[in-house]
Amino acid sequence: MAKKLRVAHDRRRNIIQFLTAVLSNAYIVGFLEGKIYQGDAKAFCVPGLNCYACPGALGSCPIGSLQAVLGSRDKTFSFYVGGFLIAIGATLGRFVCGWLCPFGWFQDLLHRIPIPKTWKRLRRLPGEKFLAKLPYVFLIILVILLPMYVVDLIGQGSPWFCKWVCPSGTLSGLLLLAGNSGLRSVAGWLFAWKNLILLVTILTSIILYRPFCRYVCPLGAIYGLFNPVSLYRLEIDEKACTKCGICQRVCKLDIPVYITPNSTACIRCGDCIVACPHSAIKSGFKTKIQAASQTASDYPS
Amino acid sequence: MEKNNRVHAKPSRIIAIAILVVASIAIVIGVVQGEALIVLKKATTICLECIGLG
Repeated sequence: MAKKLRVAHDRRRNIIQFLTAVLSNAYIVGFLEGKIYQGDAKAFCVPGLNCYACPGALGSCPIGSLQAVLGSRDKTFSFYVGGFLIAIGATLGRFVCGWLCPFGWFQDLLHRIPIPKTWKRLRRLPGEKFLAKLPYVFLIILVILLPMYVVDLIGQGSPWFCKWVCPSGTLSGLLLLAGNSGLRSVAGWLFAWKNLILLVTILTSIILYRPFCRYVCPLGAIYGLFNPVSLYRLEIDEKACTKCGICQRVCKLDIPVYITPNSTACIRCGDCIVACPHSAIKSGFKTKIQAASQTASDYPS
Repeated sequence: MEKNNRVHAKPSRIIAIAILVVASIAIVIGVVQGEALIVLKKATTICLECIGLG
């Protein structure tokens, strides 16, 4: 029964991730002709990490957009993209990472690749505590400060994170270059560097769950800040929880859910909710625990 | 315990709603200041930096 529930949950999450990736990248002509969509929909950001240079992308990547606005002349803060990120964070937190991010889904698929029996999948890397802070470093330095303050003669900044790190952009680049010989001819050492990062991300994703989300992604770092206060949240029913630790054991990010159900690292995949033998973990905009407590206080005995 | 749950749940809900209101105002200010057009302009030309060419 428990296994059936887990399989159904995995399938449901996989279908939603697939649909989100397809809907975000539904411009088929772009893939066939090696060009990008240029319609007005690109003024809107998508919630997940989805490079706007992807041939199929119908919307804009929020991290790329943030750097574009911060790097433009006369702009010191992006109200538009900042407001969007804060609104999504306050509503869903990192639910976006677990269910709606195409690059997160890409890593999930890689993690399903079978490995030789002599190999071991890792739950965490040595120095995890330090590494988990790296997304904030990338966010502050490469996404905010450098695009704002390192500018060219006309005052235009460069999207440092996209240029030097983001493997999602490289993946989009590979898809774009596949259908565009003109672009292929100008690929140089920067393209090689970014492909190296993509390759490391791919290989690491096979043995470690979501390395990019854990140690690099500035978008996840922003949404993670809102996990403790977002409208969508996880809650522990203290009466039902026996602190058996099964939630932590099934969590691929090794989070002690029964202690910190709304940890900044949690991508809200929901594996712990399905695995809990006591049904002590609830999730939603208004969880059953909250609803029960409100009913009890609305009608005092 | 129910009381505790209620105590924990309510303030974060209020905070989230307050943040949402501020975020919505920020989005409107951003659109008025022309930031959506900057995003559109950037996203409708191939971002060479993003794909590792520029």
